[in-house]
Amino acid sequence: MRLLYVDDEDDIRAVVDFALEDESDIDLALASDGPQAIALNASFLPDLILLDVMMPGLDGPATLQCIREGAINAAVPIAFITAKVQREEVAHLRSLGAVDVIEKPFDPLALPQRIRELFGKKI
Amino acid sequence: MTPPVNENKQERFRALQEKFARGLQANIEEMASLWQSVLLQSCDSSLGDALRRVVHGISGSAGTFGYAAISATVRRIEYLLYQCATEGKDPSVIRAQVDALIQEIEQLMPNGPDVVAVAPARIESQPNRSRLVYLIEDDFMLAEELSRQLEVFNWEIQCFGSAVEAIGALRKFIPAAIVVDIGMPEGELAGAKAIQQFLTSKLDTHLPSVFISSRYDWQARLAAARAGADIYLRKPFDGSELAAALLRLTEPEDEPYRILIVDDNEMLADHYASVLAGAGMQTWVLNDPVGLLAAIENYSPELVLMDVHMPGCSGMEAASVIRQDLDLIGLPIVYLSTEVEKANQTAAMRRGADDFLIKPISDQDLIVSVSTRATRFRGLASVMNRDSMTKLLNHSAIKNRLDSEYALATRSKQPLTFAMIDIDHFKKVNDSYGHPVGDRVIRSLSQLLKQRLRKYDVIGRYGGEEFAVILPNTTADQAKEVLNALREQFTHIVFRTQSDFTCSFSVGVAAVDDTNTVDEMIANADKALYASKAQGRNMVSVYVAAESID
Repeated sequence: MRLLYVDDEDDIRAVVDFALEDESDIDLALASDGPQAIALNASFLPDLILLDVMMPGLDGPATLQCIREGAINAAVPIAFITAKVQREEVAHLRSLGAVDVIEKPFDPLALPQRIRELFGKKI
Repeated sequence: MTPPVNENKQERFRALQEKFARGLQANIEEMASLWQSVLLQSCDSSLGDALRRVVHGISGSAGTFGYAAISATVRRIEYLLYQCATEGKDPSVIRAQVDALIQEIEQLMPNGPDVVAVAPARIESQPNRSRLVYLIEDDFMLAEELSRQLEVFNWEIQCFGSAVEAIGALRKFIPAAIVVDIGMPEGELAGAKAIQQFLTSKLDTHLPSVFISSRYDWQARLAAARAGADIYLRKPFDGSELAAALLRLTEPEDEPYRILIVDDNEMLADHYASVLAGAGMQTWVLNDPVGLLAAIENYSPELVLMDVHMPGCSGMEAASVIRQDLDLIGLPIVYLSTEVEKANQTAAMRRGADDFLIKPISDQDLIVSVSTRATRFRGLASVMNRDSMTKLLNHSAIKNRLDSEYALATRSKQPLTFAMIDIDHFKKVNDSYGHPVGDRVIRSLSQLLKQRLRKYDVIGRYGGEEFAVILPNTTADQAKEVLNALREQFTHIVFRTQSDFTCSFSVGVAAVDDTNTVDEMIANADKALYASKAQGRNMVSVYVAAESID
């Protein structure tokens, strides 16, 4: 399974990399902003994207929109990761076409399982 | 030789944590300094945006690196800033709260991360914090609202926006109960399940839990039951309903049954006592029926287990003595005998016994016959003395208690106060919202009294919307202070119907001093209550005897 993880925080990317390194069935690529994510979506062709919502410049929802409007891998399942405080916002994110909204902070040790569940849900 | 993978991973995770901690320290400093600048402008400015971004970043990442408490605290700041910006408030309005939270974070920082991610810390349950409840609710508006309401009922609430944060806290401390919203962003029930799985893997005992949800279909209910929910509450509900659920879950088990054993054979009596004690009952052994009435008065047993053949007087004669007392007419009496002759058994029963057990009896049979009768007796006593809706003492039971407390207070020259409480404009509540809503108001006041008064205070429902409280060892001034605080708290309970509303009550307090009879004391409390009503309601008045002027 190919997974693209998008987060502007270095620490979070590092811990995701750490949490998933032993998972032989998960092939991970990391992006630190929206434009990089859009480019990697077209080249790495992930099966699933985990996308941070609040990023400087192109934020999560805008990145999702760009990917959906793109020519390559436009229908890739995308789950948002966010520490949003309002439930309406979570509902809003789902309405944008995200397969799921993952709450931050997450438990790094539980992440592989979480990703497999998400992936299972999609296929 | 290479180190085991786990150890290696642990090392590396620690290194990641350390790196994160350095960044976190810088972020917290940035947050504090941005906040100072925002105070000079507004939450809804570019500086406010920058601050919210930093705050959001911390709240989203700190928990992942083992700083769950910091995550949770920063989230409260995020909520305050969000509210301030959307409602266009001046930042000075939330200054005190935000300052306090930032200070809290600065104090939390030196504690370092929880060792959550790799090696969970040992859980210690500290039952003395029996009023602490973890509320796991991602909707911060609702969480704040519920916290406020539950605090009225004397619960101490800690809120968590996600299951991860809650699990982080549960690793350190187990509260009295948890309240979980099943519709978390992790997916329906996912958060709740994660919590219960964590608990079952770490705890020997069950942690009482209330699940809240807007769904009420069978699937949701079943899933909640499987995830370990004790109580399922459907939204919307009042804070008082949640408080009632928590009270029910955390109330100590029923008191053990009190059994009086009367048998001149000491060895046998002790044997029965140990069998019943093994089944969780409390026993009192009497080897001579002479002490029977005194034992009943002092011990108030819920069942008497008696040998038929005793020297001095027979069990049947002893039963007749018990039945002569009108107050003891319902007390179950069970004979133990070697008498197998049916006619003799019937004769024994006629004298007022309830059952006839034949010696030798198996332990199991003894336990079952005794406990079923004691259960029924207790149930009956409760029906006779308690109000069915609130389970408080009913009118006649509270008057009986006042009689004995009054006698005790005058004998021992201790202060005693009696207060009458009446819900204001209760008829209007019933007329506007219907009787079921009126009942909810009554139940929530009864709960508030139960939760906030002392164990030895006596609370009763005097009638309709009227309550009575006996406060032993309390002067009128002290009573006024306590009841005033309760009055204030009651007005904060929000009842949800088509439109939200609040209620108030009026109180009249009377002291034992200067009264000659119980009836006089009750009449004084009534007069004081009337004075409260006449002066505009929602207040506590103390009866003062009119001074003679000559």
